[in-house]
Amino acid sequence: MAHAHFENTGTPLTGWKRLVAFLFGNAKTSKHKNKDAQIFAHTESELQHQIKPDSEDRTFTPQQYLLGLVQTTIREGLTRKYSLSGCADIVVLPEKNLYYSSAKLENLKAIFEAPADKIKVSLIDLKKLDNIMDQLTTRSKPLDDLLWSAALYGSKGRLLTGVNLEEIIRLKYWPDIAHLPNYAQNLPIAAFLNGNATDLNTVAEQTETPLPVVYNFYNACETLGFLEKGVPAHIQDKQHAPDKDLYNNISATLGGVRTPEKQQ
Amino acid sequence: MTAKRKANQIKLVFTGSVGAGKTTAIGTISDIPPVTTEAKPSEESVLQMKSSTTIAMDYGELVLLNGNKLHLYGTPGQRRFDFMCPILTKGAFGIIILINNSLDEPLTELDYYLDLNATFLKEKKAVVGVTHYDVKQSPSLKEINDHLHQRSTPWPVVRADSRSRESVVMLIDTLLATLEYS
Repeated sequence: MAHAHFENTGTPLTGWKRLVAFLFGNAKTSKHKNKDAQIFAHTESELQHQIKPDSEDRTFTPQQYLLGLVQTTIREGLTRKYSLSGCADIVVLPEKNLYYSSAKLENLKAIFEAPADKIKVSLIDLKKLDNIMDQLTTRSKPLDDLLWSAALYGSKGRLLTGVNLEEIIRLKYWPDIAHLPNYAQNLPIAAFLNGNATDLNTVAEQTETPLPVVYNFYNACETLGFLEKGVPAHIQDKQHAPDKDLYNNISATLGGVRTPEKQQ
Repeated sequence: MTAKRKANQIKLVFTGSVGAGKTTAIGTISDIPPVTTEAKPSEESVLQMKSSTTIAMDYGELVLLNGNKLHLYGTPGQRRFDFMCPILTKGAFGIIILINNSLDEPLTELDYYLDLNATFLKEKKAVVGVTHYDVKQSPSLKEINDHLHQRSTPWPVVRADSRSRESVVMLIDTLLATLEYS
């Protein structure tokens, strides 16, 4: 059996390392060079989006960022790889509802924030991945996590295009924020919108959160269909004033989100 | 301990299904070795899962930065000890309901513990921690959320691992945020 090698070390690759090398182009045997060529033959220059960057736009248009590219891939049910210079690659597997990247979501910020026309998109022939699909699936993560993060970072403090700021919203689903970027910032917003139905300005006021952060959270929730909209406004009456000192004390003792350094 | 001091205890209670990790969660964050009351289970369904289980309560404590103590209680998993639940939750600022998603009917288990604590939850808050989600993803977090909404008890649902301090702290942070902002 031929072994793939990392270019510099000459160390034989087995198992998962071999898979990574295979997917992301470090495999250097002739066998794998050929395989790479077959799989990545369909580099989609034709799919590179002819979109002008919206850096001056005041609203967030997903189609101009990775989020829109991934949403298109999901609609088409194709397996694609996304690359940006200096950033780890992302492979999206819509059929499995999974994505793979060697980097944590926090470390993919650059590709989430980049204009779509700077991102290289490659089509991966799923049939060619058959023999490694089990390993790939095992190491992959929920696609919703990628969509959430792509929306959160891509928004850059701008609200999705076409959203009515005064619309009354509340959370329909509790997002899995504990395992996603910007947890400390998003937790008060999620908690507030889980018990109350109101507009975004009120959310920002009541949680003492900057409006751009609220917009990012809204966009991520909206992308995943986590919001109920157009509901009657309702702010719960509190029977007791919250004991903020106690909550801060417990959280800070445990090194939780209210620890001063985590709030900065 | 005087009755007045007991009434002012800062209490947090972990409740939920057998094998969900209540005892482990307390041990993960307690400053003292947790006081447990473990014995061989008497209920056949529990015996099939565990060789020992909590029969009265688990107890741990955490000294807060200001010197106060946070008292941590865990309820027994066997249903014949359900009478302990209202005793332990009395005066607690909230509860964390841990559901073992690898069980056959996690939503039925969730219903059971929500109903068991219904009186407490009329005035206080809860967070649902879903453990063993890596073992079984059905029901999904979305399905659990849907279930809670259908019951008009939309408590936050968090994937949890009782063995991980970070995960247990996330559950507590979520409960604290719910108390402050919901």
